[in-house]
Amino acid sequence: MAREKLLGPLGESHARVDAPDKVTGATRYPGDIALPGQLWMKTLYAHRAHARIKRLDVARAEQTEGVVKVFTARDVPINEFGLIAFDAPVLAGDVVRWIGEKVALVVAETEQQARQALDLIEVEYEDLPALTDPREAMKVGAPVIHPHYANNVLKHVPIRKGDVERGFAESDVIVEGAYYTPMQEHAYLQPEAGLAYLDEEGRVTVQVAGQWTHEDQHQIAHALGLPDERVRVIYPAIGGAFGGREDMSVQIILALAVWRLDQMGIHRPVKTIWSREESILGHHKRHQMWIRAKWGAKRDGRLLAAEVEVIADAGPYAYTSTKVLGNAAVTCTGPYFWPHARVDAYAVVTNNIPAGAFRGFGAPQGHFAAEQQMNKLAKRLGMDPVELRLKNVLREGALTTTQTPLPGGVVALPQVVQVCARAAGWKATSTERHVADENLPQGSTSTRQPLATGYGFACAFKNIGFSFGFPEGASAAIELHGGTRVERAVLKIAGAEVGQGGHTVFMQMAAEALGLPLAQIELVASDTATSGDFGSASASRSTFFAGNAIRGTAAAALQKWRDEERPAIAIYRYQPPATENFDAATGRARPNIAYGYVAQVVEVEVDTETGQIRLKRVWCADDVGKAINPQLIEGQIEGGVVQALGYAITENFVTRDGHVLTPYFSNYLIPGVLDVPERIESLILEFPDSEGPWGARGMAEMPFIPLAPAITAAVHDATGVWFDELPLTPWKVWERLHERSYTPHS
Amino acid sequence: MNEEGNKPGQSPEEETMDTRSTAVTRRQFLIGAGAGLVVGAAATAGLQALQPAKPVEQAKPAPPVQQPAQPAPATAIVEPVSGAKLVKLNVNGLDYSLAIEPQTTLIEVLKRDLGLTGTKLGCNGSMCSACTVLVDGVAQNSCSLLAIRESGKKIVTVEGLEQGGKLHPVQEAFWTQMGYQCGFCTPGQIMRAVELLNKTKNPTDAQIMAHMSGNMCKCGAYPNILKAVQAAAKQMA
Amino acid sequence: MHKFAYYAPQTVKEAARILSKNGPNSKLLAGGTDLLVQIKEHVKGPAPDYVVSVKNIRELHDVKFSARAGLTIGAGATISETLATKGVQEHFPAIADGTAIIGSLQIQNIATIGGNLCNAAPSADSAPPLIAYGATALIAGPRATRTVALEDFFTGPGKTVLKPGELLVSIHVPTPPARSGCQYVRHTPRAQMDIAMVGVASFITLDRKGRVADARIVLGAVAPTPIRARQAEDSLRGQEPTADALRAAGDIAAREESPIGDVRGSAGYRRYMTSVLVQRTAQAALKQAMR
Repeated sequence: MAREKLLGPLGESHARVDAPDKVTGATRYPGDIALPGQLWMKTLYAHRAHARIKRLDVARAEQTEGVVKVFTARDVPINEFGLIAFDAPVLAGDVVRWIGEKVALVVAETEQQARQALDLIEVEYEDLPALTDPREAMKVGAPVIHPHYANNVLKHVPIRKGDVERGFAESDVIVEGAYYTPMQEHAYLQPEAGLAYLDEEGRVTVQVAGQWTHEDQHQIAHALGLPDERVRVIYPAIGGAFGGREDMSVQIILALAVWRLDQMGIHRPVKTIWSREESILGHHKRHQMWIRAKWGAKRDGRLLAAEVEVIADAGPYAYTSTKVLGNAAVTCTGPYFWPHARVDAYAVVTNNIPAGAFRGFGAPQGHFAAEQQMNKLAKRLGMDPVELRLKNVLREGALTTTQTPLPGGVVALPQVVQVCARAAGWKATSTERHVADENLPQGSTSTRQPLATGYGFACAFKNIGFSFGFPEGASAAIELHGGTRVERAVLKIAGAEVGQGGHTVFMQMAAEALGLPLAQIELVASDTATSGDFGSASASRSTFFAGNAIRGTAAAALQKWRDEERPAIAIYRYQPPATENFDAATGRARPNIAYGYVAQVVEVEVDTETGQIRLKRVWCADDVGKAINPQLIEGQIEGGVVQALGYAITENFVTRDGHVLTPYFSNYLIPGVLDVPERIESLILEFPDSEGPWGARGMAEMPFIPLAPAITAAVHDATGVWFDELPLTPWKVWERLHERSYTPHS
Repeated sequence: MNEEGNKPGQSPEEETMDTRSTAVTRRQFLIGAGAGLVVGAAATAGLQALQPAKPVEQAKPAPPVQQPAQPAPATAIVEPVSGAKLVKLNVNGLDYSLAIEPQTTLIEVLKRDLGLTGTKLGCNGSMCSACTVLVDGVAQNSCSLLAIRESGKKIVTVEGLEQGGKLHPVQEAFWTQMGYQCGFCTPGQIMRAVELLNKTKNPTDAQIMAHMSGNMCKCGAYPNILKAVQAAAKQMA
Repeated sequence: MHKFAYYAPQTVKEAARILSKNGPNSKLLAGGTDLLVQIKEHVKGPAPDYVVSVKNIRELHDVKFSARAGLTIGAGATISETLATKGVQEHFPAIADGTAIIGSLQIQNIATIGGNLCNAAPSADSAPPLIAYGATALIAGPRATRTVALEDFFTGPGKTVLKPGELLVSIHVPTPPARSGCQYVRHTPRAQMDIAMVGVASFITLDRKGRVADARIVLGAVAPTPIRARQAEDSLRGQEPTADALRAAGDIAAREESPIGDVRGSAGYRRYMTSVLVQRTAQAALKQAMR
């Protein structure tokens, strides 16, 4: 096949530009790259949830055959890192606050030698009390885990709108619930790996899989005490990310090792590859959250007042917790209009694994509570859940709980709700024939296989791009080469290809903006040395920001071309409208520049004897603004559904006292092909966003968000039982169905 | 890697940098570290895919072993092998004689010694199958095979599927159907599908799914993977 | 991976000699899908210094079936080889039930039934169906061979009756009589690549009148070893196999076990699943028996 096959206009499903290398094995992920003379690095982790380091002796390890050097906290110039706050040590020197805290790095000739030397490092710890329940940790008088955070409260977001007491007083119906959503492991198939060296210009260079080249660069430079431009970050291929590569894993430690060795006169590259266990123990997780909600509504279904408390387990360091918390605070009341709302959301410091970005970024947790509440309310009112949504979804101009309207023109919530319901034949499938409790197997068992089918509905909204005043923008550069006409165009952009097809979309958009066939576009990507800051491949923002950056850059480059510059080179930075942080007292804010909207209907089958749930069919309506590459969008919908299926049913991340009991793929069960629904129907809507390029919104996170509450609604439809905690493992489902020895999550 | 590729017979030193300096240019990247590798005479044709490099990982004690003139008979080892042992493997049609320690897995040999980095290590415990290769035509997890036990076997990796510059139908189908997202599990998925379609013409969807069920994809590209295998099956029927 | 010395003997005798010489520091390597993970992850104590491969021992790889002599599975035969042997799927469907779900097909291409048994995980999927069919194990030591019933082969998690220097040579399974049937089902949270939380094999033979002539019910993953649910079996013998009788047998079986509770399921849940699976597998076995 030839690359010419890729030609075609915007809005068509081009084959991916990375396909030739990915199907032949030619693609290089960080662990696949080797350099002459490379050394291997292995990391010593604390494996203690909270302890003081009393003694650390690396002498024996350093004398081992093949070992070149062992690094500890003393070797880190500025021993701190973090995306939002520099509050985490690169290598712990005095206190370890979670099991994956890094204590020492061994650099040796071979990986085996480095691993063996780890056992010879002597560390003496004094254990400190480990706080692993945020509800305990936030109590006044609890021991303070991190000196930066009094009372262990990392962040409190209050939202105040109207008068909730009045709202409840005027309500005909009150629905209350307490919800729990678990930690989730990203489990990308490519474990963390990287290679560091000094490049030809003497820059400390790290080849790694990340999500934001320039943030990695900045955090490395900060820790090494170097200006940013002395550090270079390159992303070769990235084997999945899903938010899990947004914070630091091997970036700083690789850079530290190669830079310190260089100072010692050892000019050799350093490589590391994490095992699966290291990956699961070593990077952040989705926040576990406890959410209490009290909602009041009129008999006709009009929502009046919501009071919600969100407690998010942040782990010991900030990572991106304050932003995830903000999203949970905004989404825990759902995509609905509320005259009165009071939300208190807390991110709490604990000795669990740090929590951070994961597809949805707080919205899956917030919506799980919101959509459960909504479905329970529909039941209480005897109203169709779809009809109840249509009565209450946010529309153009309506003020959110943060007292500002949703931006971007059309707010397509009614549309996604209706399209999804219609496509799924909702009226026909939604049944009032819930299997009544008395129909469940009585006594111990029955000999039939009582399979019960149910249908569920949920919808969601989520921001696109960074929120709450966080600096936002994206840079690109375009070079136009040729004489009388443009013969080739080079697009330089740092945006990461994490598997979503971002680079293909970037090239499609560049071809469109320049009026060139795709075959004439060359892409130079994901290298801080060749591009300006793009921001991260997260927050469903790549298409939106790349598109706007590419349009601006293309216009500037074409102008220079018309001005007869050869080559015509333009650099441009797209700067979106500013967002606002929450008002400290009321939470009032314009938190975001754009949103995506989604609705889902699911069909499940419940084996009421074993508690096993099978997700049979999913309909997903997603307003993407403009589908640049529809096939890629379908891929994101299907992938989002599969990942959310793991979140809702199969993936059970179990910890005890801060230790992980499920550090392997043999006990952390990601969905396989036999778990996937028989049918996932993608319904792609195109209501243009006024700020989006060609009207495009982001969409990658949306399909994840409503799935879990849609499944619990369907399970309720099938069994008559509400499940307020995830995941719906067979055991948990069985216990609730049979009301045996059931204790809520503690 | 070097765009032009090393020509067979070219001294690897010409391409290798001075290891006293870490100044590295893009063309000096190697595919693998190439320790302990000797390529037999039969292997010299069509070696563009491979860059035999100066052994850089000196810590492995195993020296390169010359290939014997006659294939070594498959003798039983009544005394233990504790150091490196000569292992003969045919990988993607090329014969190799390699000095391999007993605890070395097949994937380590492929990636480290032969520079065949297309095969991926996802869990190192047979739970994800990203490392799937064909061993005498049978799909197996290369993370769970001791290389020493596979002596004399024919191994095919994802790099060995292209014939005469033409992609294998399964590769082409994964391309056209977008049968992947991040691509990390893709070589394993492809090898697994190749095994199926070599054995079964026109498999049913249920057969495909059962056959592919050990290959995990965390991006959730399963629907497109299924479509890709269906499309390849049509092509190969 | 941890370094080890490697033996590849060609005869059972040789292997037994090597094992007895090197003692507990040596491990037998069949398919390696379990052992290599154990060595990599150090999950079952220190890694062995000596690994003895059975790959070159021809006699361990044979799988033979005849209706008269029954089925003999060499301890080194892979699951795929076993399932591909003529007569196995037809006469021993529960062996297929129990082995075609071990890991992935990639694993089945490498892993052996002998290895699955000798690894002696309480959840080993091949054990309950083989025990239900009345299998026996042929064991060789440096000096002599012996035969034990497979249900007596296991002594605890990871432990078998194999003495130092002994190895499993083969499993023999008699051909089931007419009017019999057997099914194995396991309960797992995920549809593939998972470890049994409960596994049940039910073997039922009917007499000419359609009453239960014999029953063997074997439970996996709910005790330190696979166990026979003997009281449940007794409750069925001589009875009409009605739904009520099966339900009663399921409840009796659930009381005969001693499951543990862990992160995947409580003891109570496992008991209940046992009861459910006994009924479901017995139903399926009956269907086969009445064909």
